[in-house]
Amino acid sequence: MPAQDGKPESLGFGLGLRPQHYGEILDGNPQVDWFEVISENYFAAGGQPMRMLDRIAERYPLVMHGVSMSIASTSPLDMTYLERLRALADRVNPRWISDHLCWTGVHGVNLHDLLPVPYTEEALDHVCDRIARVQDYLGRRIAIENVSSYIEYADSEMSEWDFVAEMARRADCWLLLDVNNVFVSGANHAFDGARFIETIPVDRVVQFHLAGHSEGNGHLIDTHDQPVSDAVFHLYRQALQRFGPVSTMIERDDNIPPLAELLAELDRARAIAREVLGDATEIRAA
Amino acid sequence: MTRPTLAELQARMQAAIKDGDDDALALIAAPPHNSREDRLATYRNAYRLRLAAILRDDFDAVHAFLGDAQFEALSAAYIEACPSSTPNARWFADRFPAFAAATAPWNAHPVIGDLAALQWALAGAFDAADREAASLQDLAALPPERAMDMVLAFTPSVRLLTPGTNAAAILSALRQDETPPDAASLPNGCATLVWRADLQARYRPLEPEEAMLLAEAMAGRSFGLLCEMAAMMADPGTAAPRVAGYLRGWIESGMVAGIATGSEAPAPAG
Repeated sequence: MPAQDGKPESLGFGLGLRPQHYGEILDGNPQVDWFEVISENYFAAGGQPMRMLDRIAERYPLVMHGVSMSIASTSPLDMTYLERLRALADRVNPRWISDHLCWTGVHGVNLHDLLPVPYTEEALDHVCDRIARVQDYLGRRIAIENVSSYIEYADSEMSEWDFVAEMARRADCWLLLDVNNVFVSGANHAFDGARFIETIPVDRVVQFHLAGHSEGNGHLIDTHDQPVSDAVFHLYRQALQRFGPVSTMIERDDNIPPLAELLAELDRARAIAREVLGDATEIRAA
Repeated sequence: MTRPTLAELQARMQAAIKDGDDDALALIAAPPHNSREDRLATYRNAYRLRLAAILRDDFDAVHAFLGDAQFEALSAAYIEACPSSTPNARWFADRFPAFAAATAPWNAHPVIGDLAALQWALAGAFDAADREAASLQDLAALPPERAMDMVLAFTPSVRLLTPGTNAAAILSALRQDETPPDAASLPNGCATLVWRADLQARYRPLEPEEAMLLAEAMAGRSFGLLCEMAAMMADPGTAAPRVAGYLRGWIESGMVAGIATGSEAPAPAG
């Protein structure tokens, strides 16, 4: 891993960039401190996606968030994918690049889902080795996000939070703590989200995700099609108490409302952060 | 039972999700509430729903033309036959038009594959690589004596399709919320130009002469050769002005990226 400065400062309060909001963002300069872009959506050669991205990158700090690195897959790393990721990073100069602690497929198939890993030493070794190789290729630390899961594997040897904490230390990567995913997985596997949060090393967490979920067939599903729930905001409060000011954003991927509704939700996150941290919420990167 | 390796676990989970194999249930811990089957079903359902949603987004006109039941059947068959191999969902549907055109029972209705191909070409034009378009001033700047040697380079979004059905007319009607015409075969096909201008993907039908000349121009034929071809298609006396008229139209539409003369490669505009 190349030498790199310490943990980046908080960017403040951001949103996931969605095409439905391009016009409102460019015309209105909304009170959003930064945007997260889905990396794969901007692997396009040109046209409107890239034009909008370039214009928004001129005005707002960006971070890149991918869904297809498949860092835990036992298939070889997809070097074409990584090449495109690096080219996009060269273009938009993101503050950091993130993806998920998951695998998306093997044997040439992509299931387009974020599938959980068994929490075993074998998987930990595998994931840490791949993170190190990706970080070397990209020349920067990446942030790895905990996913929502609906199953646990019978052969897991440790908790998810112990796995994540050890992965961050061993691979020397950042963490993206998805507070909604902690809540959803906690509800599905009967663990206390606070326990998860208390185990994660403070010096590794560079970003929080907030999102909505839905009731499935007897368990919670990470749908990103609802407002952030009160329970997730409560857990966010606990996360702020442990981690201090951390770049926070709301992810909405379906049933996407007008920008004003997301800004109101973001204001709620700001208000909670102000309550918990006071003036420290104002600390942001220049 | 021997513990599976990570690679074995992933292969079995993938088979469970994609192919409905129940063998992977043994890998899953008993959940605190509901069942292993319920939990696995969430992944199985999400897999199909997500891919079906991608196809609905990419082929909304095919969906509207076929109706829910037929489109769902076609989508399910495609998902089964052509699992995604791309890390980018943008390209999952790459084989969908050819699949619809070649697979029974949909292949009995060529308009389905044609409509899908037209929508896919529009999607390709929408995010094709950028290239600055040439202007009429660039054309005027050429020495008149070199006009016959002139060769065009087209922007990467330009595509020429020749569906054998009235798919373009059906798409136009659907785009305007009108009842589409019945599907019809067109013995000579309906040449359709797809390109991007002002960030919007566009299409328009072409008359046979313009379609032939555009195909030849895209293949690198010179203005002089295009004029000779036009002279064989219709009145030789007006061949040059006809070709010049098409050329101006292509430039004004933002389709032309460069104009060159002689043996030099067409230079990018700007």
